[in-house]
Amino acid sequence: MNFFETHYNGKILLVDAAGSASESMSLESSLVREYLGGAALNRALYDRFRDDDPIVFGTGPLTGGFAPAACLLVATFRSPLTGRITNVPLTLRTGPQVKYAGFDFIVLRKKSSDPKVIVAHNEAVTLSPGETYNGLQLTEMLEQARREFGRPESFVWPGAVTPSLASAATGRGGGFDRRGLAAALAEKNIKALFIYGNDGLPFGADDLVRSDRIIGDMKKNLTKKEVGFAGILDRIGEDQAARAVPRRKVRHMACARCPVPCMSHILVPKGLSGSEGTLLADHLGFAALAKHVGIGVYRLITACNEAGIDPIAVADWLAAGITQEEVLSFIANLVQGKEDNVPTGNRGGDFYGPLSEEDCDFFGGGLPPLYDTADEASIEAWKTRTARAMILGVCPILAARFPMLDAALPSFLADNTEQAKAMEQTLGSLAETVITGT
Amino acid sequence: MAEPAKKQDNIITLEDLRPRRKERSYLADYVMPARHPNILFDPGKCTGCGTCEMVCSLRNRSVIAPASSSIKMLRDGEKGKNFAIYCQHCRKPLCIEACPTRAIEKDENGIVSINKLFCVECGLCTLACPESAPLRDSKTGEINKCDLCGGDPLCVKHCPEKALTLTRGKFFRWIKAARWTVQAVSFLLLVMIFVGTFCFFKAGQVSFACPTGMLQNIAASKTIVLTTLSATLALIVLTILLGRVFCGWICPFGFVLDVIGTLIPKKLGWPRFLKSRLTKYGILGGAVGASAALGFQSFCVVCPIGTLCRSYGAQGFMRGAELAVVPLLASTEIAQRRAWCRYFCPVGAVLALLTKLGLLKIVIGATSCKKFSCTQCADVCPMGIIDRDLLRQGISPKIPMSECIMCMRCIDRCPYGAAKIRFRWQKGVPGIPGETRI
Amino acid sequence: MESTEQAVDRVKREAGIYACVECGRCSAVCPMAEMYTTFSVAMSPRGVIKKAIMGDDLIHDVNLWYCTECNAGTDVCPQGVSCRDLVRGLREIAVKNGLGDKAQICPRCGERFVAVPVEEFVLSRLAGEAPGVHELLKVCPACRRDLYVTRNA
Repeated sequence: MNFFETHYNGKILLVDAAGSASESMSLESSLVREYLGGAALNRALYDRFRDDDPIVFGTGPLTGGFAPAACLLVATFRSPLTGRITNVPLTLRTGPQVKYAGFDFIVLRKKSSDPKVIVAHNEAVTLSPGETYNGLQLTEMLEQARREFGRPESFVWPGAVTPSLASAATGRGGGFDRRGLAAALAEKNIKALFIYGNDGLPFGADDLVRSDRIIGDMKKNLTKKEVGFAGILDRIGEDQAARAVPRRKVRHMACARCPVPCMSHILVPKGLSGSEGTLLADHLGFAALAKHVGIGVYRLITACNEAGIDPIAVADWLAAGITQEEVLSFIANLVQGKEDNVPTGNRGGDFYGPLSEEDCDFFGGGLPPLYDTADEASIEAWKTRTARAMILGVCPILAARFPMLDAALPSFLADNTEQAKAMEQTLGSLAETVITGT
Repeated sequence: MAEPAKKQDNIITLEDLRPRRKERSYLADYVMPARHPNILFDPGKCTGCGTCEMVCSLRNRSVIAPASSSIKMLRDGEKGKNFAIYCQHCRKPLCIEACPTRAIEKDENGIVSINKLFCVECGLCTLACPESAPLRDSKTGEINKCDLCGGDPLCVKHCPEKALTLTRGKFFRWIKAARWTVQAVSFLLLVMIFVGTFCFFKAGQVSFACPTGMLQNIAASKTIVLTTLSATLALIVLTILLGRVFCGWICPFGFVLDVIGTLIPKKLGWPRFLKSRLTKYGILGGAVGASAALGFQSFCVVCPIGTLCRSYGAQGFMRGAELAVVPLLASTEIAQRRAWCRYFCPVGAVLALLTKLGLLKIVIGATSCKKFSCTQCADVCPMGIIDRDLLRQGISPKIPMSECIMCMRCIDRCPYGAAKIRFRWQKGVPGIPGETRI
Repeated sequence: MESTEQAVDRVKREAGIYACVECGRCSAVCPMAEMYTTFSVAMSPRGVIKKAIMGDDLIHDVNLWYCTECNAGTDVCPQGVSCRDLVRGLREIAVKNGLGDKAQICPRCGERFVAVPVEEFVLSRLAGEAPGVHELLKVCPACRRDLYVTRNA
């Protein structure tokens, strides 16, 4: 297997949050051969640095390349909320930017005593003081970053408010973090992580042709209704939420190299939302809110995204009988630091049917459940697909929606059928370990 | 100050190697090909996946490195806008004028490209371009600019949403053919066959009258006759429904002007003090006032449309001095296109007032508009109402419908389909007025 | 914090000016010769490097502000002297010392992005354009792209 040269930079960045020094170590090819990458290799690195309570950000072999939706960065850490080791998928452009910055994995170790902002850029990393980022909302935070670092292409942001409510965001639409990546970052006193680079990433010779063929096949039978945020809501049976998404004045947004977008930017009529439009990316958070407030969801989701609060926690307050206006003013108070009494909203939701909370640890508990809850086999298949995608560094949502990717994705890493067979076997056993978390 | 060095015959300097610059403008006698390739971008379809950047960088650096591409994806998550910045291959490129080493050239296909042999990476092209389309590679410091991949752009080939398309513009301009036919036929009918009927005619219950003549008639006779009012209704209804199509498609004098304008393409220029489009309303008022004072339709004596219809037809009787009016006023065409219609014609003035009630509008600058790089609509507009300076700044100009003669030359000429006819209440062009200021 | 003198020394060292053999290749290829009718030895890269070696006060020198920061001189230097890095570094120090009035400030983001004489050269080449276009050309490239997007997307 030669994919190690063509899909990895061969570099692990070790950031010591306690000090200001950072070092990089080479990524051994043996490690890659054994664990491939993504969630599986993350776990191996986590175990290696276990004493420092690390957060491992890892890309997969396909991340940043031409494979469809090769955008994934997986964070592996011990969740401060549950105490268990958890993976959280980070989408948008974070994964590719880690590769373009010259790294494959970032291990964030130890704790910082004062607020820090980490900037990983072009094989170098700087830890700068982050006091100025205290209590900033998303837009203000991005504005501040623009003043300080130019235009960072991607970021991981743990939110402006209290860690127990926060959900780490990689974009304006929030993220899939339901297991406390934000809390883990806050524990280390990291205010934001900016990753951008202008390095190049090599790729396999026929990657582009193969990828275009796969994308062509994927789009062949795709109807307009299936694309975008509402398409996912339809698939997971959240009709009420799907009705709250208008079908017009919608622009679909995609992560890096994704051919079937699952995010939408909606121009909401003035009054329904505080801003001009809302980027919808967190399907379950939106669905949970829409259940309680219907079309009024836009104001809440905008406020949640701006403050970095998990919408499901807010939905929990709504379920307890607190009105929408009260929630909004409460969030505003939280951000301004006027509120100390932080409720602990239930962050689970009840979207995953028979899956228990521990079962959901391996994917961060935030991905849309694209399976039939009554069908045991479909749940198993979905779990395997999600785990495989998180190893390969491809969006798990896309992998779950298109079964054809099962065979297509490993084909980027194998030169012949023999290798493909071996790859299939490795992936299968690795997926099993990722799911069980061992 | 140093004396300019004297050139010696036997020494080859950079001056000899670099392409020569003609005095003042390199493009002084460059002939633009009629149908040259260009990339169209549809922001409505773009999901911001960044495939264009990935594949474009392959040409510049043979690795996947979005920072080294010649196309830049700008994403505004707040407003939900994705936009691709790339070279538009201007008809009159500002970068060529600014380049101090004459490294940028425009070939016979209209493709503007940087000759890397001569480029010293000073970045003046980036400063000169209204869109800053030449991009500096932050890794190598080189300036990268789209050269359309020699006619088969990779970004277009691989865009998964088909938001980027290659166009060569229209082949057949049918509106032009239709307009000339209609103009010739109406000239034949009004001047040669139904001599004098444009000014007034009555056949049984059906009557027709020129609205300007009618206004003067009312002023002169100081009585309003209902039948004369209804006689002008045809032109009034036509103008409200379709705008000033009479001026652009029917007016026989306009046809004469258009023919002269085609025969003499070089214009002498019109004195500045006569450049007021309000003059025609003054003439209209003067004509009505004079008619009231003198008791007969005073303007009609010197009306070029009227004299053309009355005095030049096959059956028309020669009317002495009236014969001089048409050549005299038509000679204004040598100075500026449709100068008479722009500044003086009171018939047009009445129709212009009616367009305030009109249903249609012309919209220039839809998303596919190339703005500063093209400005062909401004070139062909006979009324000179398309603001070239605004287009040069990348702003969509508003078309004053009272001045538009609905000749549809802009729609016909636009190679990208960015000039359109819309109902008055329909959405216009992109760009939020308040935010377009610097 | 390093003092201004130290910073100047560092910039000079990093640009490698002490290796200069005064061959003049940088001045032969310098695009400034074509841009400015007032091009002189004092303005040329060779002249600037010489002044730097002699220890002249370059930070207050007007001649520092004509360079386009291109790659031509650095590219041809047989000794690996980077006149671009020298000028770029000295300009940064000058701006830090409040001598940035020769650097064009973007009216939108407030960043100094180009030297005023360079900008003036570009505008003089584009003298036929409307005042509005000139206004637009005074905005820094990154902001100009943003502006184009707000006007067109």
